[in-house]
Amino acid sequence: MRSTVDVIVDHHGQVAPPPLPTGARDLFSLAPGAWDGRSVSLNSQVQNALNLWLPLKSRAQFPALQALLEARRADFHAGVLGLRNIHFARFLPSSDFSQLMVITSFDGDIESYLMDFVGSMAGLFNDILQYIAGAPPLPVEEHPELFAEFVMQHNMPAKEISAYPQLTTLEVLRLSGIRGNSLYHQPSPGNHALPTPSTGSFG
Amino acid sequence: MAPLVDLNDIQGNILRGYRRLGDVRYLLVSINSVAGGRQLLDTMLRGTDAVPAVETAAEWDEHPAACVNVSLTYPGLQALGVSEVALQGFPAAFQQGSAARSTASADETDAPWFGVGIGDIGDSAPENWVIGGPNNPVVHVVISVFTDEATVPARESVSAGLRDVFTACAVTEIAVRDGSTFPDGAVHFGYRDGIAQPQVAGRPGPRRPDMQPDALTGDFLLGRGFRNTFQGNYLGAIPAALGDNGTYMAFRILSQDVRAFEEFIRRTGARFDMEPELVAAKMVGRWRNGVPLSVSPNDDLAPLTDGQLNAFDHGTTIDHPTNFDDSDGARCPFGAHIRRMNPRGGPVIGIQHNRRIIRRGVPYGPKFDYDPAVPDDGAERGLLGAFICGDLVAQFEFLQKVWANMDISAPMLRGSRDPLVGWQPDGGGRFSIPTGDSRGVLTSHDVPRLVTTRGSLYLFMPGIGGLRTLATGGA
Repeated sequence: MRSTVDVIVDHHGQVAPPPLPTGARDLFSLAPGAWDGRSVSLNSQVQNALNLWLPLKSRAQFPALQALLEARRADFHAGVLGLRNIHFARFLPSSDFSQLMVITSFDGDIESYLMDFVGSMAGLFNDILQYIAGAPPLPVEEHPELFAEFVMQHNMPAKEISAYPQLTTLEVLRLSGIRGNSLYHQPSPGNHALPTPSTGSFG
Repeated sequence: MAPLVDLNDIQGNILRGYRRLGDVRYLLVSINSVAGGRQLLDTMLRGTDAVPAVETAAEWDEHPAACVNVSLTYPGLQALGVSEVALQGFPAAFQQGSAARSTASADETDAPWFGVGIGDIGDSAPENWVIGGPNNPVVHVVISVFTDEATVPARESVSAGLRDVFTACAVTEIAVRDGSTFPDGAVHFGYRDGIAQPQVAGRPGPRRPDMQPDALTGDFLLGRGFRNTFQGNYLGAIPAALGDNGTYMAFRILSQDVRAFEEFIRRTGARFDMEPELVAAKMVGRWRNGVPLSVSPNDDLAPLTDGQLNAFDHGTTIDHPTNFDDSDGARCPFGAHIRRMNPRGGPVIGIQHNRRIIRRGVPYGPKFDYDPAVPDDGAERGLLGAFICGDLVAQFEFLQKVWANMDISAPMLRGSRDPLVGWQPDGGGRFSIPTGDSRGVLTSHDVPRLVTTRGSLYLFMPGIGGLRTLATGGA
């Protein structure tokens, strides 16, 4: 099983994330407790981090990328709602606007569900990757293995520190009383069964 | 509406099953020379006096007495002299083969109580296989011969004809596996099987009643024009002349422990004050006659025609907003085999109505009628399973690894695996039955391992044009 502590990746000359301070490693290695003694649950199934550090071809293109993300926010939100294994997602720029960070927490192993993300957020990944240096061949849905390889190379895995570390998104939704068909559809305007982002894509 | 697919270029038994042909013989062959291998395929495309030509998906006026189909392993493609460029176009999982994939997935685990990969560990590990394992001869070609031995026995005559072809082509027969559907249409464990097949867009024949949408053609057939659920297609870098209208198959020999199943449902029924047949139905999600629990939760008497056995869902859907919402699993447990392996409109993570697979399973070994007073006959019995899909990883392996052997894809699965096909730990696994009443959730902790993998091969099943390309050395 892959370590979720050793987060340093630097493949094929791509920009590597900065190393974690030594003292922070223990903090990041805090894992949710096992479900119970007889469980077959994998700690690594619940609330995994997908933290992509994506270098831009040119930081001058950052405003255009930001505008794209704002324009496609509804698509992204619909995709998150439809998959039911993403706890949250946000985009962040690096301080010098040379990189885009995609920060998410999701349930399941990334290899198994990566293409669900692609399939449910039609074209969003392709649109973003047009701005990214060293992007895999596009469209990604035609090259799933290379896309997966790219994601693995640019991911900085880290254990989540969560207020509810044992719960999946699906379980949170059920505990919230959201059942049946409403699990699968974006709430209509004015009927916010699920919280909607209160800010823009960045933040 | 004209079909979307070229039925004449697709091998039979993919888009439709040979329902009237309940007997199958699989002949496993190795190729000894490029020329001999190509001659074998060329002969099979043409047919001989004794061997019908490779069956296609085209409509027939009269049901054939025998249907023959051909699939190849990755080493088989190599043995046919396929170019390196074309070979590298195939997905890594197919190149690696079933045994390597099973071993690799098992190696991902840290400990037995963590993941078990696709479940081929312990007795199911490749080193224990009789076909496809590291201790078995390398298989290049798998030929299936479907017949109806009770009505028009043709198995032996076709086999004899094939063996003449093998001799002429100097190929070697490695193994033979026979299977026969029981007279009542059931398989071992006493269930009717193969009911919930995806209805692939563009397939022949009328559409059966089904609350699930048609599966996308690209989830089952390779071809640049066939879109899959992930908005792409699975042809990848395979040359179109070789890959178009082809598909993949996981051919599995699965031993089934019928006695353990029967003893478990009786033991659990006594513990929970529940009829053993209801325990069995809760494990499977259907009564033995195929009636789904979601339609008939208390008995198997719902007056459903064969065509209606798949017209149900576990929840409400856009098209069926008033359908019974079994969000608590009170009718069909979330852990039931058919709900794990096809969650339909019920809660599940990921894209809905995804990961579909076509199953062509035929039982092997003698039927076992359970009698506690009669000792086990010691005979091996099980299923010759052909699991057909456009991508072995996204479909077959995902089902085995995530839905059968992990426990967060749907609610109320924690700590359990598929009670029918999942791996189970020593001492037994967990299975929960929500009752929907004051009894709450009843949980058993002693589910035995009921299915053991005895062999497995990853196969490419080319279209007719693809077979012709291979036969002429055009790939």
